[in-house]
Amino acid sequence: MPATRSAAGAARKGPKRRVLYVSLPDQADRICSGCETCQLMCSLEKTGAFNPKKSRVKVLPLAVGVTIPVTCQQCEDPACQKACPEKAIVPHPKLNLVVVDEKKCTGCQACVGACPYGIMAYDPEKKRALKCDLCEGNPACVQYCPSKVLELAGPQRSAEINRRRFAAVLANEDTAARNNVAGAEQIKTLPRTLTLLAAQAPKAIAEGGR
Amino acid sequence: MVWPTLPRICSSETVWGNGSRPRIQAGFRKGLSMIVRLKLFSPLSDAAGASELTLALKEPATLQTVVDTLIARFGEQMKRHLYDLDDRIIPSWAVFLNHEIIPLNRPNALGTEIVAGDELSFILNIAGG
Amino acid sequence: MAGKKGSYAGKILRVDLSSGKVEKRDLDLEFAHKYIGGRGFGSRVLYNEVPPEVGPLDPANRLIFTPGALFGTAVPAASRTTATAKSPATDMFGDGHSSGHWGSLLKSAGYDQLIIQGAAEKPVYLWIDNDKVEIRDAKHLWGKSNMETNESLLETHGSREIGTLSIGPAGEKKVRLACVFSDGIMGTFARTGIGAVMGSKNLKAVATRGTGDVGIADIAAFKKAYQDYLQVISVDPYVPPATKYGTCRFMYHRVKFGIHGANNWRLGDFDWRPLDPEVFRSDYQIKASACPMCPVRCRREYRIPAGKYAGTVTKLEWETIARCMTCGVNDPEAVIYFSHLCNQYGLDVEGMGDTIAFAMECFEKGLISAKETEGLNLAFGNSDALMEITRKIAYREGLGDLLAEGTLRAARAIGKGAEKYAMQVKGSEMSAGDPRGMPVRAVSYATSTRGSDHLRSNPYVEELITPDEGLQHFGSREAADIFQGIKGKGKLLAWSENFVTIGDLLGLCKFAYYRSATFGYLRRKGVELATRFYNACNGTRLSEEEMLEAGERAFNLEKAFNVREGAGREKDIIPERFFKEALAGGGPSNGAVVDREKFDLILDEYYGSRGWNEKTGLPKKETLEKLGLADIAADLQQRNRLG
Repeated sequence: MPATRSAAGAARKGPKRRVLYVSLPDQADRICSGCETCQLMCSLEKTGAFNPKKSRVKVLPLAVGVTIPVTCQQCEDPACQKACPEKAIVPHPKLNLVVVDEKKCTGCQACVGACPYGIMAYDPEKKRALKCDLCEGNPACVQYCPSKVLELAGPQRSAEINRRRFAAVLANEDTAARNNVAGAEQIKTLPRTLTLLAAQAPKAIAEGGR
Repeated sequence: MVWPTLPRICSSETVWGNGSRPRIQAGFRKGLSMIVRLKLFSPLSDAAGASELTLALKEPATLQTVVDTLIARFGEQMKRHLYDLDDRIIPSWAVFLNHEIIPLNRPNALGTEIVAGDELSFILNIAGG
Repeated sequence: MAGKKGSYAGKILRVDLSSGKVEKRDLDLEFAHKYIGGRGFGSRVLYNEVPPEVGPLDPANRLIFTPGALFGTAVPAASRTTATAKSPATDMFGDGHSSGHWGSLLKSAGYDQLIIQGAAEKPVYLWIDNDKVEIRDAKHLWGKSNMETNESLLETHGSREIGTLSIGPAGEKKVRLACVFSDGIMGTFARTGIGAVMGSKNLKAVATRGTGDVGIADIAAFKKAYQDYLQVISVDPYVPPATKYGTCRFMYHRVKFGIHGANNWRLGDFDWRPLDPEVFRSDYQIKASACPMCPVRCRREYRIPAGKYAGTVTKLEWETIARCMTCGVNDPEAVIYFSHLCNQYGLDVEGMGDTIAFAMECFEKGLISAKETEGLNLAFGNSDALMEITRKIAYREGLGDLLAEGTLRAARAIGKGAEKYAMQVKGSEMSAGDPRGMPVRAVSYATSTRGSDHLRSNPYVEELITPDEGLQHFGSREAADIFQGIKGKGKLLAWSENFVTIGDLLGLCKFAYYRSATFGYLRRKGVELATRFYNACNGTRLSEEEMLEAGERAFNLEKAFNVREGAGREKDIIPERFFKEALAGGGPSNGAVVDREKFDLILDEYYGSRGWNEKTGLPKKETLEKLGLADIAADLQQRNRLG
């Protein structure tokens, strides 16, 4: 049932798009600086105030100097929607994604726990789940990122990024890459993230390039 | 990096003007090319794609000639670094001309004559820290 | 949404560690719009509550943390918090400013300021969780480094979305060079020994969780100002090298002008090449990092992959490199490791570099013996000795106990003429570059209200202006002449101080607003856009003049505080070395000194243009009254300290 609805939806609402963090092995200077502008501009856009807790994009500091923005992957078969007991996560009227119906949401946070990327947010005052809706097609995070590492990516661009990342995974085992000492460090960092995602939500990844 | 001492190529009729700048009398060498060496720091080096450059300039040349040549060669990005939005030369640039400091906020700084073999570097005269 | 309080949180939080009492008061909006925030709030409260009878390490000293007014919003580079206290280094006004997350968490928790008074009997930390405020036992944290303390608190409170402040072992030992750190080693309130104040209160840390909104009055105006800000920085040639190298870029300037101040401010030239910014960028830098909300991205973390200090990962900025050269050290890995030690122990690299260099010169001249250094060869350039003496100072061991008192006190204790090697102003160590040959820069180190400080008294405007602009804004074409100019320099200095103070009120980073390649861009960022952002966030209609006046007000507050402590013109002076000894070692500024006569002329003009007595530097009644500080004028009058 969900697959059919999704396919029909895709035809009506255009291809799947998502905000992706694009920091590729061959672009060492294009990297998240950790400024967190995306978080506050997201909350400003969606709530009219500044509050990183209400942001639909989250920047994670993993180590000194390592900051990674995590965005909603706009899954084809969303775990958030499946987890919701109130059927409060519904297709967006125009865009090819799902959104939270605030009237039906009871703030149980089942979706928050179910999301494999941990990117469903929660408004502690309104007691409602918060989900990325791409700001009606012009995401604030993409607009305001000073490092230009967030992109609104359609299927082709998603495919290109995924392909290059996976190639980097393979390059780890490649003799030529091992010999290229200068490039080796850069190639090492990204694939670990990809591996982590793959382990948690194979379905979402498999459908990612569509 | 130690700059090698290059011989001064002057006409036989050099005249020492105010300060220590030899002034070459026009006529003999007018229109001929000369070589100057430039050391650039960021952001000029980023716009030029290099931190050391050699420029061939037509005599007689001044600092203005050097600036114009840089902009002609490296375009809008270079221009934006040297001129502000009101098309004034940005005063905080300092030119080191063979170890003499010429801050570009000084009147007529751009009129300073350049002779063959001169070594220049441009740096933003901002201590900052 | 925002309501009348705009981006203010709306409450002042006061904690008394002696009694355990927690008090919350509503923020008075009239007070807020007058003092703006950050340093403005801090300086006012310090004046109100810490009279001369209170010593810096007494329980009655205040430890005040105030986020800049715009911290917590998405205003570009608005990410700074001010810490204010009476300083154990200067025995008068003290403050520090830090990047980090903690300040925005305080605002999200609902507070615009945290005032701490009294002292706990045993080590404690403060836990602020929105409206819940608790004083908790910190036995398990005492002795830990800043990173360890931060990690431990994040684990205890079960979330990585909290902010922390902490002191390291140095603050616990009340080292007068100790500082307070924000969020592990993310930022530091470095100068004037604030860490010792926190240690004297037995306060190891403050951990804060905040989930509330920070409001904004006019989103459209904010977005317009944002675009205009991005446009200025896209054309300002000051910005790309900042993004490319971080602050280590200042090396090129020092080289060109020959003002390293190496070997305890004696040498203008120095073997700097191992510390080339390109080396830091290619061999050690992790990436171009950014402070919260900042598009300039000039902060840096470095890692050492191999060798003696392999595995070190830490934050490092220019002043650390500069102060290592002051100690004669030019190995980049030693510089990074020294920064790491200072970060973990909680020590100010400026104070440390100058204090250790002072000790090195004393050792060189036989004023400190090998017996006193316990065999340590405290020679310029000996990086092993640098690390060992750093550890000793942090823990007040052996000679470290003396040096932990700071350069001035150590010099007095050593005697035998050591004071002439103490490179400090008002008790706080020298920062930035050598002032010899640059008259107003010399004066600026003297006029800063918290001891030598290039950030507070920021006369770099002289580097940006044409002679015509000098005439137009400061009354003389000479104001544009860095090396020879005298007239107009005093006015320029006063204006610059008021100007840069705006950044400290709003929480704006100086590299993003208060440095530029042209005076036009500079004013556009630091006055016009700063004011527009403030008004957009708060629904106010402050003019640019009023914002500059707010800067002038805070500066006058601090001056009044110092004057009340007994400081007059005699304290507005720089070390003798700059007047008496020529800069040596070759290089472009070789042979330069500070001309005392020029110094005094500029200082006279400065005092005059500030509305202070030209001879004594004491503020005049009408100046304070004009700034809305009539009560302070009355207080000083009663103490016979008006100009």
